[in-house]
Amino acid sequence: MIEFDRVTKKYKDLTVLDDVSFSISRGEVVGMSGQSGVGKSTILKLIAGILQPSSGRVRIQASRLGYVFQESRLISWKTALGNVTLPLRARGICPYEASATGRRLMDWLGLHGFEDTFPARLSGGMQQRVALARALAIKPDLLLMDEPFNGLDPHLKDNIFNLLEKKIEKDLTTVLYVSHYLEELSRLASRTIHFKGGKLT
Amino acid sequence: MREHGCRAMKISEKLLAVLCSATGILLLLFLWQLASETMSGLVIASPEDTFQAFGKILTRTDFLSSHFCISMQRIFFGVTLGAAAGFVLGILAGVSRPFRLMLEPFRWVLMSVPAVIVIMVSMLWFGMGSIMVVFITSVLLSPIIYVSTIEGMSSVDPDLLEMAAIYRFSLWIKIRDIYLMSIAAPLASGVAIVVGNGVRVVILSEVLGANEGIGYVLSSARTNLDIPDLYALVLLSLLIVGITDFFLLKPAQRRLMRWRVRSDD
Ligand SMILES: Nc1ncnc2c1ncn2[C@@H]1O[C@H](COP(=O)(O)OP(=O)(O)O)[C@@H](O)[C@H]1O
Ligand SMILES: [Mg+2]
Repeated sequence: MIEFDRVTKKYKDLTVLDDVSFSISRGEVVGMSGQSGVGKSTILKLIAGILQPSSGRVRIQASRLGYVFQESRLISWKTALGNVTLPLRARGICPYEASATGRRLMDWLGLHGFEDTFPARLSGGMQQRVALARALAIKPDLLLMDEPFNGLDPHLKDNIFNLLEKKIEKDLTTVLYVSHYLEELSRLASRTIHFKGGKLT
Repeated sequence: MREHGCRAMKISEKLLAVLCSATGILLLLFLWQLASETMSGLVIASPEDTFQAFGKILTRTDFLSSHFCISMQRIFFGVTLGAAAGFVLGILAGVSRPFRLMLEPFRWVLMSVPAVIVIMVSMLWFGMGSIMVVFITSVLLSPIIYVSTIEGMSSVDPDLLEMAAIYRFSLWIKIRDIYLMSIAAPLASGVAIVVGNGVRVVILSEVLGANEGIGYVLSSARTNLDIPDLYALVLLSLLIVGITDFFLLKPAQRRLMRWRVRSDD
């Protein structure tokens, strides 16, 4: 599903990834830890194809990619539901079907009643759940999450994890989950990768 | 219960705002009255005379149907053409840096040259009449819209564009759902400025070189030393700006900016 073959990534003079190789197979749920600034987001962006490696190869087999960013990255002038359905609309799904899927996901994440609310009027936790709904709307076969629930209250986090766990199991989604909280990683992931000084350990 | 309290507070806040504005207007009228009493009526028309003259002008047979109408048309076409040109050029300049650098001297000249010079040159080119007035207006206004469009284009959040790339949004979706609304905020204030300036520039060019329009009537009032008429026409042009702003631009802006937290709807 994901294969990094001797990948090096440099930003100008700064070498962030140094000859990194690893692979993740279909249906695996993998956690990634590492200090901030070590290059975790860079790996996710390489997988998403918005960055190219300086050398080496990144091979990905995924037709639908879900991505939850560290910040929610919602479009402020679109309603919560409008944000959730946009990736579906971009894939040519008709508005009716897209909004039915979006509503179902929002209900499921406890966002019922906030479909027509603009992001600025939602709490941080709600915004992140909207972002998660957006990532799940396309039924991703690969889900990338970049420290998505930092700063949420533990109770809510626990809730989201419960829901997510079931969903991932049911859909056999391949997941790469980045967090620097180890207990979070072991909760969701069957395997964790630790990342340090441009190398995986 | 709580909601009720909130609403009551909102209403009292609004009432306070109205009261403040009303106080401002009364103060202005008071100072105006005071000034007209201390100076001779030949220099400053009193509010009363002005309002009377205002009524008289509006009921004059030829005024609304010809002069007023013609000025409004000139304002409309001048503002629309200028805004459209500024918008299209701004989008292109926002996309292409070489194009923007190429346009920069033109923008600079247009924004720096005194309006009177543009008016004089256009009178030489086009003579007196609507073409001249519309040309001047659009040429002087387009840089304002151009600049706010560029500002909007460069304020597009790169994180959103990254998100759009990951979710494979088409160019059309990116333009419709990301670019256009990023431009909308600076553009809305640009349009408000442009409408106000549009009225000013049209009247100015009519004063200097036209034989129809509000500016023309204004200039004949000056020649005849008809001070109340002069003031009444100033009042009229203020009203044009005020009314378009209040009934057209503000509601459009409110609708466009609904998503902002502090938009009080
Ligand atoms: N676009 C960029 N240009 C230059 N340097 C960057 C860029 N993006 C990230 N970096 C640098 O690369 C390093 C790794 O960044 P990142 O992958 O975001 O780390 P992490 O997600 O582990 O915190 C950091 O030192 C960061 O400053
Ligand atoms: Mg990061």
